Order: sequence, then structure tokens, then C-alpha cells
Amino acid sequence: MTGMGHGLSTNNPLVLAAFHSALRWQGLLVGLLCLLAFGAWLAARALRAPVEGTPAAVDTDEEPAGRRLLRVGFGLVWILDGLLQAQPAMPLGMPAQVVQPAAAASPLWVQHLVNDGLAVWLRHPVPAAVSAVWIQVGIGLLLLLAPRGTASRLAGLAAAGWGLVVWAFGEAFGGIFAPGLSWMFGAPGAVLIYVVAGFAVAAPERAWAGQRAGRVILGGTGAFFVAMAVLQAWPGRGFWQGQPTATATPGAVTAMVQSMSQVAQPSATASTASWFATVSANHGWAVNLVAVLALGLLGAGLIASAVRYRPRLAQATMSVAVVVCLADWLLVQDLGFFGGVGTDPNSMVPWLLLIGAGFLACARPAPAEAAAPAPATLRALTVRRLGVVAAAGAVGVLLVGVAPMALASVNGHTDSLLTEALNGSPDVTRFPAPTFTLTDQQGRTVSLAGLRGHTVVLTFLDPVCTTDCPTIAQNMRQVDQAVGQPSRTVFVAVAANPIYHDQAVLRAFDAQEGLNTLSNWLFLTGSPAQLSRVWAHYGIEVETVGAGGMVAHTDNAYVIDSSGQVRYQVGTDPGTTSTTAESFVTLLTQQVRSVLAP
Amino acid sequence: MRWGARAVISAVAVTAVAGCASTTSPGAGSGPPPAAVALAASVQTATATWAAVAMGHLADPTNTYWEVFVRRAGAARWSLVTPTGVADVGGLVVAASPGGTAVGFLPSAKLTFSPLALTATLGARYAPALITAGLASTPDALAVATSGALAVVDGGARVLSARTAAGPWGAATTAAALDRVIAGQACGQTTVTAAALTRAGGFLGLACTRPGVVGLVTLATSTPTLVPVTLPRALAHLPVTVLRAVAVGGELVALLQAGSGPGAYDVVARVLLDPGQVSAAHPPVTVSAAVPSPQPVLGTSVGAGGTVALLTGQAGGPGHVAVQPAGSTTWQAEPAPPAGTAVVTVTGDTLDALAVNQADLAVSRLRDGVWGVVQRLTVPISYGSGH
Repeated sequence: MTGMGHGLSTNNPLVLAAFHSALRWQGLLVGLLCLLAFGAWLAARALRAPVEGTPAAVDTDEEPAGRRLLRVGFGLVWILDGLLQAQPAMPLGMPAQVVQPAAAASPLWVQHLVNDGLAVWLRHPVPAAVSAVWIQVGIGLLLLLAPRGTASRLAGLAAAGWGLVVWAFGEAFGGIFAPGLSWMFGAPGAVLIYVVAGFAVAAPERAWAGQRAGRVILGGTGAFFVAMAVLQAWPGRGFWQGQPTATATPGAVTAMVQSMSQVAQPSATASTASWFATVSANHGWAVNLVAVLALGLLGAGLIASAVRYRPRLAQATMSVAVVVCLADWLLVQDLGFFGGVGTDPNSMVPWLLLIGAGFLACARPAPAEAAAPAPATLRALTVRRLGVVAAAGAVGVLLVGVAPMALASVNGHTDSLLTEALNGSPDVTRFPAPTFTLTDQQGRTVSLAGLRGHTVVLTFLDPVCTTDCPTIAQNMRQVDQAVGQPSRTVFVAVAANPIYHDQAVLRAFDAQEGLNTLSNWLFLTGSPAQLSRVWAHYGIEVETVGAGGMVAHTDNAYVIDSSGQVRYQVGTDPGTTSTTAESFVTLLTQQVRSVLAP
Repeated sequence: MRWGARAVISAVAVTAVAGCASTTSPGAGSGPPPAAVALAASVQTATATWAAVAMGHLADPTNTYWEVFVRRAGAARWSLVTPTGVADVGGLVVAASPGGTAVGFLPSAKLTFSPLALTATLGARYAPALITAGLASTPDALAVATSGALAVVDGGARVLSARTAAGPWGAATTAAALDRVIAGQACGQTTVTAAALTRAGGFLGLACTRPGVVGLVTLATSTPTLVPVTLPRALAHLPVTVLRAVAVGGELVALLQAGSGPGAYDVVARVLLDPGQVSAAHPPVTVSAAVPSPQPVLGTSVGAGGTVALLTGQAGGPGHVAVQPAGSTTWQAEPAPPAGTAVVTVTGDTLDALAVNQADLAVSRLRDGVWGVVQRLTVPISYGSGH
């Protein structure tokens, strides 16, 4: 009802059902693609069995160890992220509970950019959420199944490209433009590390020759850690304080851990988070000192290893990295993916993969000169073909994700699913519309019977309503414009306020909403008794709320055909977001068009 | 109430003002911005005392509901008489007159015009009406009398008039027009903050940015004319805002605030309207002493006899009450009212503090220098119904 507060919950059953259905169908498609790929491989093997000693070139040198760690590690992480995107709350929860809160502390331009980027998701939540699943699973599979060559480098590029999209629009640039930036919380955004790894995989393999790649990774990471240590130690940013009393404002780390401990999660991690929240509250200064020292030490070790690689220093630095990152992952980031809308395991695992790849690239550098191609063997060719076919299958999975996202982005109409989720599915009916005779905003007598020959959209509006009714009126105007047949359609509102319903207030409402220029808009009123009868006939409950509340009334509309038959009954609650209101316009436009169609 | 027993603070106040003036004398056209006008207010007529206060979840504007309370003449208790049919989270203004009272709903969210609720039964029954523009958010944005009605709309940019509050409403003047016709004594960037209808015609109160100019305009002359109000010299460097303008018997009581923020002072100007004394352009004006008002004004009241009560402080805090009795030009400090007091009302010589705690209203009455609770009310607020 208008005036009673309303909105879509993230676990709306209709949206959930649509999400699961789309996942099932696209999962089936992915399965078919895998079967096709397998069949293609079998056929290729049967048709073109290699001949022993054919002088085909098969690389026999191993993939550089650092590159392999990045490729396999981030391949697995992308698959995990894809699976996390399949959580039920994602279609509606991702924008409102993940992206917009992440952007809220950032400057306005970041918020605007993020909101613009989110528009596709908000308008088409189910296709967008399903796309995110398959795009990320596809990238992960491609990274895993294409170990070498062009396909592998393209996998790296795909990971970097999609990662940049997610970093900008999903993580609001990792919060780097927001206050309170801290490595402990995930700065500069986990997905930015995916991007770095993607570019590293996409680099030509000669870039991995010698220790150069490893030094670059270690040096860059080390410099970043030192900078983060300085930032962590900077006074006045809230990191040195805990929470001396229960009513005191908690320090940044304490507040972060406290908020993470509130997330729905297994009891073991919840109790760990609660314990550390207490520790950081009581010993905030000491916790930050440990963090600063650990970051500084780690940064120094990484830079020293980049300057001159020494196995024992590398081993020690890697050990420190493992301890520090795992501790932060468990105690501060709370593993990152709980709560129903966790999209990734946050930044610590990616950091470990990146640092590990840097050390591996230094410890086991690829030879500067590639080994001469060895003559192809049956096994080698078979493995290579399997790889090509598998990579093609992974590309197919990726495309299964990209296609709906691309279609959604070019579809300017908001999915009607949203309004159905809010108002319930519209009733498709055929019964005579209850007749009435009332007075319009200009004082003319209007009867529903007199509108025969027109398609009538009938709704009920409170002319002094502050929220929903103006939105519904604007929705009606948009439907009128979208249908584009003002001579065949009439939009009729009946006053739904037992106190404020005279013609003057109806005209004031029309002027407020710019409806006074519409030739096919009627706002009808009558005596309280007349209005009550009409409300009753159309199932509209109207309740006067005392103590400053708005009049509450049922939000319904009826599409009545030219012969006076009610063809659709639909809820008009516009919800609390512009997308649910747009969704209603999509649905009502479809209905009016279907009734107008011969 | 024992007026004489209260500490007289006007001398201290004027001394403080003089001290300020000696150290600060910004040039014309500069200085602090005009003061904001608190909406919580009370007014008394011969038949009743009315009060409008915000209740509910005051930190959440969508769940802050404005309520109207009335205390009938001779009655000891207050009654809830908030008109229904419109969400009032934008605020309410009450224009009371002996012949009837109009309650105006301020615009909020997507509602841009102001429905009115008119009553001749002290809120027992209301009749709907409307103004096709949005009332300004000041307690005297609406004025009604048997001679007509005035409404300050569009954030103080325009004034409408009508023969009765039921309408139809037509344009009376605009802030820009007022600024033109009073050229030479212009008060700078002007917004209209108050309207009053007296036996001598209509008056408008303005917020002036030009220091020292008191924007009190009479509409009784052929063209709107500034009523000559001379403030204490120490206030001449401050911009003046008319917080209230209320017709009381034979005079117009105007509550003025000079300056804003910690350096603000409040003054009462009383324009005498006795037929034998009235000169439309130059009515006799009495200006009271100034009282320092370092904290925001939370609520204002004007009694039927012309007594003015001023509540200052931080919202939710204990607050400070200063009262200027009818016929006096000095302020008296009263004991701190209970925490949560939204407005201190004046009924005859009785002061009531209306303290709000969400949906609960506690009425405390000042007796022998002590506030004592005399009534508790719980308002049946339906949270979530205001938007």
C-alpha cells in the first residue's frame, strides 16, 4: 500500500526462481558446449592421427614456474569468484549491499561512475548476475586449460580486462579514493591484483626469461608494502586507537573487525572475528604497531630480494608473507566471502600468489633462449589438441556469460521481472469492469461506460501523496508516451483520499506532475460515498492514518479493453528505486499494447 | 508565574552587545548570514493556545512527524489535534485567529504544494483547502484573520493572499518586488519569513542581509513600506531576521534575531496599532533590550497578551528559556526546561514546556520557579507512513 514503506528484499522468491532457472539453462548450455568440445577433439583425433616423426613443432620447454603459479592460482580464484556469484542474494544484493556501500565513502564522481556502470545490473539483475557467474568461471577455465601460446595470453588479457571492469564498477576502484585506505582491509582492491596477474600471464613468455619478471613483481610489491606501512602508521587516521570504552568510537581496525564479525558465517570464524575485535579494541595501538612493522619488514624483504635474489632471504620473506597475509585474511578480512554477497576471498590469497610467483620467477627462471622444438610425438600432439579444444570450450563458457550481458546492455527497457517481484505477477483476466460515474478535474461528468471504444488504464491516486502517487502518475505518462496512441487510450485516476479529493486539489496535483497538458488524462473525484463505492468495486482499501501519516491505499491498476472488459490487474507500487518504477512502465506498456493489438 | 522574581538579564545583554560592537564593525553588506528560523512554535488566541512540534524519530526526516496540540482557554490539559489526510513530515505551521485556525502542511518529498486544514472547532473537525504553492518553512508563513489570509510560499520568495484561507489564493507580492519598492532602505537579498494580519492591515517580516536593517514591512500603505525599527546601536552591524510576526490585540509583536550563530541576539519589536496612534507608514514602535542567543533558537511562542518566550539550545539538550512579558522591554531568564523540550508555550501568565521523546510528549509547567510534569501524552505515530 502507498504510505506503508516497501522495497524488494534480496531473497525475493520470484527473482530467485528466475536466477536459478537462468543458471540451470545456461549450465545446460555450458554442459553441451563441453560435450561438443569433447566430440570435436575425438573427431580431430580420429581424422588426423599424427604420423610418427612428422616434423611438427612442439614446445618441449616447461612453462616458467612463476607464470604457471599465477595462471593456475588465479584460474582457481576466478572459478571460486564465479561460483560465489551464483549465491542467491547476488541479483538484487550485489548493487545495494556490495557495490554502492563500497562507493559510498568515495568522492561523488566515483559514485556517479559506479552508478552509471551499475545501470545494466540494476535494470536486468538476473541476466547480469548469471553473466557474472559464467564470465568468471570461463576466465578461470581458460586460464587453467590454456597453458601456453596465444590462447593462454588471451586468457590473461581477458582476466585483466574483466578484472578492470570489476575493480572500477564492482569495487569502486578498491576504495583508493576513499578515506581509511588500508592494506589490512584489502586496498587497493583484490581484483586489481587479479588484473596485474592477468597482464603478467598475457605478457610474452620471453618476458619471463631470466629473473627480470620476478624482480619487477617483487620490487613493485615491496614498494607498495612500504607505502602501505607508512599509510598505516600515519597518525590521525584512526588506526592507532582501539575502543577503550563500549560507548567510545571504535578505531578503524576495531570497527572493521566488528562489522565483519556481524556477517552471517560459520561459528568458528565468527568467534575468531569476535575475539580479534576484542583484542583490537583493548590493544588497538599494539595491533597497529604489529601491522606497521610486518608491512615494513615484508616490503623491505621484497625490495631486497628484487635488488639481489638470495634464497635464504627469499625463504624468510615468503614465510613472513604467508604468516602476515593468512593472519590478516583470517582475523581482519574474515576470509572475505561470507554473508551471502561475498564476491571474492579478498586480497590476501591474491597477494600470496603474486609474491610467490615473483619468488618462483627469481628462483627458477626460464632460460633466456627457448629450447628447439622437438619432433612431435603422438602423445605431445594429443595433449596439445586436447588443450586447444579445452580452451575453445572455455571460450564458449565465457561467451555464454558475455552474451546475456551484452544483450542486457543494449536493452534500454528495465526488466519487468522487478515490478512482478514487488507487486506479484499481474492477473490476466476477462471480466466486465465495474461501472461508475464521477467528475473529472475540470468538473465534467465522466462515466466509464462513456469511455467504451478506448483502452482504459485505470488507477487510484492520492492527490496529496508525497511519494508513490506522483511516481505512479509519471509512470502512466511514460506508458502513454511508449504506447504512442493517445487517441485510443485513456489514462484514468480516481482520487484515493477521503479528505483531500476536490477538483482544486486534483488540478494542483496535475500541475505538479505536468499532467495538465495530456489530452487523454482524467483525474476523477466525487462525493466520499461515490468514491467509497468505486474503491470497493475495484478492491481498493483506503485508510486514513493519524498523527501525521499519509493516507494508505492499495496500489493497483486495471487495463480495460475497448469493450469494457478488465484484461489485466496489476500492482502499481513503484518500490523504492527508479528501476522498479521503470520496470512497471515496461510491464504496463506491454499489457496496453497487447490489449490494443487487433 | 512570578515575573518580578526572575532575574533581569537585559542590562547584561546590552552590555555584552556593546562589547561586541566595539570590536566588530564589518562593512555594509557583509557579516554573518541571516539566522535560520525554527519551525517549532506556539501561539495563543483568546480561545486557545496552539503548538506545533516535531516528534518521532527526529534523526530520520522521513519518520519525523509534526504534531499539533491545543490547550483550550481555561483548560489545564493539552489535546492532540493534528489534522489527517496528508503526510506532515515536511512540517506544519499553525495560523490561529479568534475566528478560526488554519494548519498548513509544508511540502515534502514530491509534494510541492501545501494542503491546508481549517478549523473553527479548535481541531475537533477540519475542512480541507489548499495553496497551490509550497508554504515557506517558518512558523508564521501563514496568517489568517477575518479580514483575509496571507501565505509566504516558495521558500520566502513570494506572498499570496486570499479573502479567506479557503481560497482562492492570488499573488500579493514577491520578495524581489519588496526589495524594489523599498529601495533606498533596501535590506539586501530578501526572503519573506513571516506574515501577519492586524487590524491595521498586513505586515511581512523579512530576512535581510544588509546589516542593521529590520525587514518589517507594512502592506497598509499604497506601496509596501519598511516600518522604521531602530535597533540598539550595538546591533547595527548584524543582519536581522524576523523570526515571528504575530498580531496581538492592539499591536504587532515581532521577534527579531540579529546575527546568527554564537554572536546572535534576540530583540522584540512591538508595533503599536491603536487606531488613535497609527500612521500606516510610521507606526510607533517599541524595541526591547537584546538578549544574547549564542545557541540556536529551537522554539518560539507568542502569548495572547504579547508575552514572548524563546527557547534556545541544542536539540535534545536542556535548553535555555528567556521570556519577555507583555508590556515589558526586558528579558527574564527562566529555569532550564526539561531535556527534549521542543517549545515553551505561553498561556496567559503560565509557561508550559513541551518535551518530546519520540512518540511521547511530557508537558511541564513552571510553578514557583520549578518545572513540574503536569501531563503525559503518547502520540499514535505510525512509523513508515510519512513517505
